[in-house]
Amino acid sequence: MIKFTSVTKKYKDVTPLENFSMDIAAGETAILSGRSGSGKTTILALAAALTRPTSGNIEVNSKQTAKLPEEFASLFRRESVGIIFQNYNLMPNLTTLDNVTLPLLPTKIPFRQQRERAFALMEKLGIADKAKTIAGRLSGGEQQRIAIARALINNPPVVLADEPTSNLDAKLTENLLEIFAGIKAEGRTLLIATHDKVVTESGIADKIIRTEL
Amino acid sequence: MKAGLFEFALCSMSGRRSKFIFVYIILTLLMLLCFSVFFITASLRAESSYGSEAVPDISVTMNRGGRNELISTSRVDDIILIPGVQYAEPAYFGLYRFDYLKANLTVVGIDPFAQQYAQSFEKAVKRHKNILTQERWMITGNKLADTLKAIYNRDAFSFAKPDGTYLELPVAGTFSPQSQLMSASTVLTDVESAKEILGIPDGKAVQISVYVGNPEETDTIAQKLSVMFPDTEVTTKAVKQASVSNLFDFSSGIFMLVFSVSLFTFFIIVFDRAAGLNMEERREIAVLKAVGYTPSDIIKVRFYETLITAISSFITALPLALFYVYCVQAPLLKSIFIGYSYMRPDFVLPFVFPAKEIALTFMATVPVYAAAVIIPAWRASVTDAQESLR
Repeated sequence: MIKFTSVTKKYKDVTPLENFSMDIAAGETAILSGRSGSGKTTILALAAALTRPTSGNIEVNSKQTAKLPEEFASLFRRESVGIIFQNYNLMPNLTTLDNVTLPLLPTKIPFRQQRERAFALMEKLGIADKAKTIAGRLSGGEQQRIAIARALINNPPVVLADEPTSNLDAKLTENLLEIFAGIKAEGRTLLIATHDKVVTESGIADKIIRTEL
Repeated sequence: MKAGLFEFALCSMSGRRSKFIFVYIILTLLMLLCFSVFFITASLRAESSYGSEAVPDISVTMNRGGRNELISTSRVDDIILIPGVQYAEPAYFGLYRFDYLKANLTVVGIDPFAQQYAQSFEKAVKRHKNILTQERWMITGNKLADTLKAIYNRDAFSFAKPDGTYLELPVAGTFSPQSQLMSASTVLTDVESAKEILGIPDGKAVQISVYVGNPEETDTIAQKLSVMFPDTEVTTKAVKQASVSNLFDFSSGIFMLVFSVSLFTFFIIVFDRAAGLNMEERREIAVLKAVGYTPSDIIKVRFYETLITAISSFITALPLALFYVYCVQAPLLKSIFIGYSYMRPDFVLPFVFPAKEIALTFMATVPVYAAAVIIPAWRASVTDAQESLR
């Protein structure tokens, strides 16, 4: 579950989010909809504890995250959250397999087991044949799937996706929606920030949250 | 150590290859310079210590207006009467210009039966069986013996005396000192021959060597000598050994070392500070945080990167320094450190491994470099990740 209560986020001269509240139940899929600059990315960052709110309360997967120290915020992300970034944020010099395995490296899972888990996930997403390819050399659609695999590798109960279709054509968007349907079917909480009507109207969402300033 | 993080550090380094190769080269050069300087100074220190072992407990020399003059041997009779003095004798030594080698030979006149030589002479000198029956003789370091044999093809050498006449001495034996310099430049002769070669008149000597029974009394006896002979300079073995350690321009060497270390370390710090906080690296750290890396995980990754670079540099620099100093005899650096002794014949640097200094260099350079890498990474890892990802 993801619960925001009267959350405000201020930067030096901008306030992308003011007194914002939302409540997404565990296993629910929600879409954050709104035009560019309306605070969608900030909401995702706050939900992932990548940044702290100026005021308000945030609860994700039964954890109060608003004031988590850095060390604990990272551990919280490792255990509870998978993030799919708009521009993927892959390590362009690493192979596909290394990118997918990245979140597992600091864990106590044996290295061989990490590789096996990553490979199984990549097979599921249809990118196993690219395991040894350097991530920076792949197409946008392939990079997108690597980013999804990386987000799911730790088996997180909450998945956050920021404008996942912004770099994809219609065919790839359709594939992505199928993948999201799979994530939803696994019982994970899914929060998608998008202004793409195809996603909004796809029927995948249990809830659509408008973020208008 | 987590193998995964270590492997990631390796992968991450290969992705930023050019930066790490640059740091590796700089760090290797820095270590190579430091190790070479340490090897040379340790070698020279060992070389000079061999010679200082033979120094008498107290040396009495005549010094007038800053000039070293010959001392009267009659003073031995007065010195020997001082309580605590075990033995005293006039010493005859000096430099002989050997034009062929464009170097100075050290000529030392000794009495092989004298108390301080008798025991060691038997052990050190080879093929000297005829020496007792010969009135005139010379014994050389084995390296010099080989040189003379190669030049003249005979077991004798003619010395030009100050009056222009020549004195031919048969080579009665050789000795193998630890010191390469001694081996290449020292000639032991009978006392009379040394006096003739060096132009020392009868009744005079270069110094009076005093041997003390109890080392604890050395300073007291030295003080007494100074009072007894106010026109002389009295030097104890400890003082002489201390001055010997400065023979090879240690101070300038250490200055150069400190200067070089500072310069290179500064260079590395500046490079890493400038390069370590660029947008790309901040973004990488933010991504690592986003996928669940704690600040300590990020520091570990950077630490492994530092360790890999530093150990690679160490492994490269150490054999290179050994090769540079001991195989090719440190061209350029050796002459800088030898300094004043350019008139001495060329000699091979003896092998010495100053493990403490090597470890010290590693410990002095690596933490500075590690700090320059880790501190910016730590700062980036505790700042708002969203800022770097926007």
